[in-house]
Amino acid sequence: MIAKLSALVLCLALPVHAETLRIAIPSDPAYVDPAYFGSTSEFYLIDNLYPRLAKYVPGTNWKWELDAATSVDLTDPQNIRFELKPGLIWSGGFGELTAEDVKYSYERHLNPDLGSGIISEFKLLDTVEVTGTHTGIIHLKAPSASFWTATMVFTTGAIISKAATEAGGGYFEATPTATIGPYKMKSFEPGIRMILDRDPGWTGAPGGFDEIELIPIAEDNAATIAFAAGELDFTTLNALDFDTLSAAPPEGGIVTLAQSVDPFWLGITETAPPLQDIRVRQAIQLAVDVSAILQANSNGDAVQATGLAAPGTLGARTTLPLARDVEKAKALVAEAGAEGTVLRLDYVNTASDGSSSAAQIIQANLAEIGLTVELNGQDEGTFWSIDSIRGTDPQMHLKSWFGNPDALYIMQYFTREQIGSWNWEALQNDEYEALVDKARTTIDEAERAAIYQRMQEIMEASGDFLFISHGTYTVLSRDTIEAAYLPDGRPVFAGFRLK
Amino acid sequence: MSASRIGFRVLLRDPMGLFGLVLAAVLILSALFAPLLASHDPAAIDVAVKLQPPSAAHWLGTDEIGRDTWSRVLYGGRVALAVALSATFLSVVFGGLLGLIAALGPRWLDQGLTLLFDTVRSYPVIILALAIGPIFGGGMVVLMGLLVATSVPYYGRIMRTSVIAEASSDYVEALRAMGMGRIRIALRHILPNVIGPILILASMDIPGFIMAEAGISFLGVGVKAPDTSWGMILDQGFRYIGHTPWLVIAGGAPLILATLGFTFLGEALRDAYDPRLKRRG
Amino acid sequence: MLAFICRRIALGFMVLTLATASLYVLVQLAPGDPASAMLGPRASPRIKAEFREKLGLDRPMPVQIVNYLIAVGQGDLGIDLKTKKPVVETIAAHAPHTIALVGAALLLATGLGIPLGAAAAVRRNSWFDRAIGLISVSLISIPPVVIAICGMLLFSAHLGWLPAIGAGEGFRDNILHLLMPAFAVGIGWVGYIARLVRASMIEVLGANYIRNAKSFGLTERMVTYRYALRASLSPTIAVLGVGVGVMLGSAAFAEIVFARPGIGKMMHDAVTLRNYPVTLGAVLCATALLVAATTLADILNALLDPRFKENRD
Repeated sequence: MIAKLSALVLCLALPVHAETLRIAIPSDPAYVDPAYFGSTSEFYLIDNLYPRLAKYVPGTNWKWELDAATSVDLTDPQNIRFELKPGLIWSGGFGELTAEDVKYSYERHLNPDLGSGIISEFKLLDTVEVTGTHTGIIHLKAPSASFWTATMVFTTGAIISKAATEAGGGYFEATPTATIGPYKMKSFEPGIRMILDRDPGWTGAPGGFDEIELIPIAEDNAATIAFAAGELDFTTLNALDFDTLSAAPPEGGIVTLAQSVDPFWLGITETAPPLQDIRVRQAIQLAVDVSAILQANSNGDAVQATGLAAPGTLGARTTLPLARDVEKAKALVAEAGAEGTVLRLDYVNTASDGSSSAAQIIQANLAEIGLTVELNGQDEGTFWSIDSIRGTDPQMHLKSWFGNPDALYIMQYFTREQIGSWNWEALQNDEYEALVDKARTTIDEAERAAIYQRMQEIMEASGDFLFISHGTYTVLSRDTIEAAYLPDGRPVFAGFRLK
Repeated sequence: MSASRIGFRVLLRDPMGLFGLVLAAVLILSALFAPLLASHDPAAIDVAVKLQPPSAAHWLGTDEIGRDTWSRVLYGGRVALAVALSATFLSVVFGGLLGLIAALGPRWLDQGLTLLFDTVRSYPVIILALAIGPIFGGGMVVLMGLLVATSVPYYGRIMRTSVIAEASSDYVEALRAMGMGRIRIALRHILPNVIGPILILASMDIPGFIMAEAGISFLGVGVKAPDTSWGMILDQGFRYIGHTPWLVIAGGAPLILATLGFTFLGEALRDAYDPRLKRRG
Repeated sequence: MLAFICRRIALGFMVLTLATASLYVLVQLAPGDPASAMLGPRASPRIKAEFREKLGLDRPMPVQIVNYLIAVGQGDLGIDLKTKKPVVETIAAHAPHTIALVGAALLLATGLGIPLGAAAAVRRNSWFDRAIGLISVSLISIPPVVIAICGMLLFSAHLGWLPAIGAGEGFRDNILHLLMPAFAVGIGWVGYIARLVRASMIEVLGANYIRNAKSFGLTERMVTYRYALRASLSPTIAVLGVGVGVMLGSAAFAEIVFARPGIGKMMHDAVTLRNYPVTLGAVLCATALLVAATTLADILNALLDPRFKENRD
């Protein structure tokens, strides 16, 4: 028996190339179309496989470097001139990256028939003028300080191949057909793994690994076990695990804490029938015990958020966070005659932001003031799929979005146009929308900061938002690798190296 | 009547049966008296003491938002028992009724019902619960409905077979010859004779229902917060295993003990009352 | 014999057809409009109407059922709403893993269960017998979910002997990834089968014709293995046929805990996304497997013991 077991152990040479990097993702990607992406996995793929004029680089500060562009002229905030590097070839045989692709990628969001989910980001875009095969000018309708950093450099600035997209009938699946970069798609087995391998047509600096294996694992715990069993090299986990993991790291694991600018908040839809009375929404804001949520999810070091802009970023509010007041909440509910209302709370039950604990705490808090909450925990893929978003009627929802050092990136989504897309709260405020337009075109930083602060004030006063915190994550990586990730823990595939 | 007394004595002498009886009794009593035995309100949140090991204040420790595990285990026992016992009861009643109708009724009804039994029996229960449950909103009622629906055919067939077999015995023929109606014979004479073995088989199904409910709640499809279930505690335990092993223990141990107890008890009952049943597996 | 086999297969098909039809209706009964929930982002009301028409969702139910049955008969299970590929492809990618898992569990159950039960029967009432009895009942009583979790924690995370997640690549790796899940699914059945075999064998061993055979000079061993064991196969096969249904359920748990590809996991994912064609396809596949298993079990039993045909209810 012992002999057989030892033989088993000896045979356990895992058939993994030493040059394969294995990264955990929370779910299978659905559409890798920059117009429709929603879930984390889609973010990762679009970030890493599609080129942008410039990209944010791994590190602890949000710094960017040129990517597909060889030079960019930002002196005129209304007209951005760019020149592309020559010789960037799309995988799949779709030719060279040209300024036509840039024009196509950005202007398509303006087409109402496309129904792009990120149309808000491109509000200021007038046209992209092609001045040469590799040169062009991005013309904005008004000068903007944030269009470059918040949209162009960020995931939403992804450039896709015009030829490939038209050949595919404008339709994207989970597997991108035309990519540029050190890696391209090799294979995809839904539920099992997605494998990326080196793109032979890439002439730039190669990535450190021959292959990258993306493995969908929904639960943090399962990812930790897989890591301990030697089956993963990199994963992002919830903050709570940091203390236990750093005290007793799994074999070969390095544990770091990443403080991101991702906002985590409770959204309350103002058009949902039980929530139309603002007093009910305000009661909810006052009844939720945010400090308990923070304590449950972070061992106490998290700070209650005052808005979507993270502390230290432009436009972060300096007011005190909303204080809990159960008595007042009860009074509001009684005034509105809403005792006994049943509400549904949607959230991702395996999320690393602690949604699951938060949801149960909220359920108990609202029970105290006479509101019954039905919990609807879903998996990441479902919660964020644009199909299901557009098909359901939201009431209350716990979520965190990928943040951006420029908070306008997130805040610009809460307009009437985005109702049915990303404005789940159905915020409809004229002043707010006017401020969004103004913020897009304001260059002066102090002025912009004031505008952002006012916008967040409006968000809170509307009763549609209860700000909770900004995301802290535990990053677990193997000690044989040098990991490369953005300040919020998102991996940059090309940056990983073997030590 | 004296047969039951004798059977009961035999049961008491079998150590496994006794063990099973004790476990089952403990479970039933703790479920009945859960409010008295619980040390806290199972839904009471106290985040400051989250994920703690057993202590004087919290006998089995706490979960990820500070709820008392011991109390949740007790109330979880209520759910487990409620589901298992009512599912068994309903299955036997509906199944028995249908089986009786199939046995006594016209041939076409019999054939139709038998085909229905075979069809429903071919649904893999758990798969069905996982697939259909969430579509209808999940929750205990849907789950119970599915468990009952898929068990009815089993009891239906057994009742039908038993009744048909019994109907060919001598005393029944004698009663028929005396002019007694078929239905009267069935209800007054046949039924009391066949119900015993059926109830014993039913008692052996209880552990299966307990496991099904736990498994489905583990996946988040059955019981929903703020209610609690052993399966749910097990799920929490799995998720937070890095922080404390006590949740897995608290969820798993009662589950094992309950299924163990009812299995021993069921087997012992069967051995004591009707050893012939052994062959049916 | 042939007539029996044909009749039994025909019954199997009829049952499967009824099951398919009723499942289709059940899924459609779900609240919510499938068209809104399932369509892609470019969903205008016109497109939704087209979609409904294409799927035939606007026709009366009996027509829908018949259409679906015809489609299934031709091997068309619809389109996977997530990957936009035929459902059959999705299922074909996942089903083999589940079948492998259930097969391995069956192998474990019979491979360990039958010898243990036989040994217990032969040494009736000895301490060995009682120990086997105790272990059997205990194994039956531990929920597969618990075994799966504890196994994963002990053998993967803690000891690192066996892989934790997935199905592995390559034959040897696949076997390694199969060990723990198969153990979790099958170990309870070891106990079940052992008790069943033991009980049947004891009954046979005491029967008259066995005594007669012994008196004719056949050795104890021969008697045991040729007659008694053979007689116990019938109920074992019957129980295993039905047991496949339960194993499919346990397999679903194992797949979800071990992040192992398979019908259970696939269905779990599809249901939450309201990917009805895949959900329906998965349940159908599982049902078909169960019907096949029970049909096969009945046929095997009839072949083993022709009297079975008459005794069958």
